[in-house]
Amino acid sequence: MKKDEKPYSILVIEDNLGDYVIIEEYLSEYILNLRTTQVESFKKASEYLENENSYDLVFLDLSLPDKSGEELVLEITKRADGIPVVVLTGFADLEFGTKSLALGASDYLVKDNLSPAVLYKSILYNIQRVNFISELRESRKKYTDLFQLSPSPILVYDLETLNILDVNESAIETYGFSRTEFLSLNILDIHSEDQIESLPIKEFDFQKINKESPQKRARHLRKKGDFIDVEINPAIVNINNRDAVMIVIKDITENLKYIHKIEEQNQKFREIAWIQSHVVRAPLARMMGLMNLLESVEINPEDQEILNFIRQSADELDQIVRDIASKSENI
Amino acid sequence: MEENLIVIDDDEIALKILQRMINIINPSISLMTFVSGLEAIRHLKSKKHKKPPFILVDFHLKDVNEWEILEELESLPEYHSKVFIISSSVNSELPFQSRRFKSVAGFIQKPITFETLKSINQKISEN
Repeated sequence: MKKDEKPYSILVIEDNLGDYVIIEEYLSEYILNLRTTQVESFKKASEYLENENSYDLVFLDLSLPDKSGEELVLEITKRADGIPVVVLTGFADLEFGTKSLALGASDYLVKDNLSPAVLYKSILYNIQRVNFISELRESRKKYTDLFQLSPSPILVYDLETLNILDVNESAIETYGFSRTEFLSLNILDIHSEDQIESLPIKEFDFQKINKESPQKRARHLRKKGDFIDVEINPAIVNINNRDAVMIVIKDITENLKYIHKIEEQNQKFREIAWIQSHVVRAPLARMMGLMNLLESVEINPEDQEILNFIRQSADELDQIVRDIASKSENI
Repeated sequence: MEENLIVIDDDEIALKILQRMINIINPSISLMTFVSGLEAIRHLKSKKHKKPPFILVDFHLKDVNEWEILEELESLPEYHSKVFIISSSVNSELPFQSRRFKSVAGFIQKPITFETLKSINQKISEN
């Protein structure tokens, strides 16, 4: 039989040397690079777990000289901190074995039924299981973080009842409602009356929105009683087997204010351009007309030079006015 | 003698300049000037000309909206293609917008030059 070549480091908390030797022997049959450490008391076990945290698995006998039973399982699993703990029981404690799982042990084995195959399988299974659990926990945390730490407010509401199911930190900050207050509202409560009809409430509406314009504008009510203009990105999500809507919200109140201000300024600017184009140019055109008139009469060469300078200056001024007018026409 | 050119402009200096330039080009032109758009409209509506005169009208009169004056002239068919708009504005939209009026024959940007007046003089003599 080919042995498992991966290195395993296993802590055996067992005060009975005979039992420890059997375990060690059984494991060696399947595992080539085995390192077992035996400790005989709870006190020792605690020290080992605290100082060296690189064990792949812990075998725990249920009765030690200084601690046993429920308390022992609780304390060891706490100190093992993620390392799988497999409880070893005698027949008499069979019932307790099941209970130990609830206390945090990953598995239990009956000592009298031990065999090399059973032990090895238990090791593989429990190490794997712990890995899965920690991966799962991590990815769950990642998603929770994505939701909670998103700089955009996010609301989740039930598609049917419209009750708000979840909100993130940014939503709480933006709207001023506490989490509890949010969870007692439905999505219509944060909309102004005139907008309720255009809400993506029904699934049918939803598909329409997603197809035609994935983004939608709305006005949302805050706790203070004022409104913010928002752009919402809706998506259907499934929470506890119910359809829910998750909306990612972008507060565009400030943007709209800026746009409004810019439009106002453009209007003023157009007025100034109009003044340039017409009002300023009216007396200038008059001067140019006068020069046309002057050029029709004979004048002496010296005065002619002066006239030319005036003409040149007027033409330059005219060009400036035209430039301003043509640039401002594009606004 | 019946006038053969009417100029409507509330800029009196501009009127004076125009008057003198016309005198230089063709002293026989009989010029009638108005500083009030309303008075000009009243005159055009009440007087039946044997030969309807050409009209130069400033686009930005104080007493009447520029489009109103053109609307009034629309109802006088004898002035169709007889009106030139004069304006000191360099707004490029104005010539375009005024094109929809039957009365408008052209758009003249101030200052009015001798060349422009010569071609108007030509039209008057062909009238």
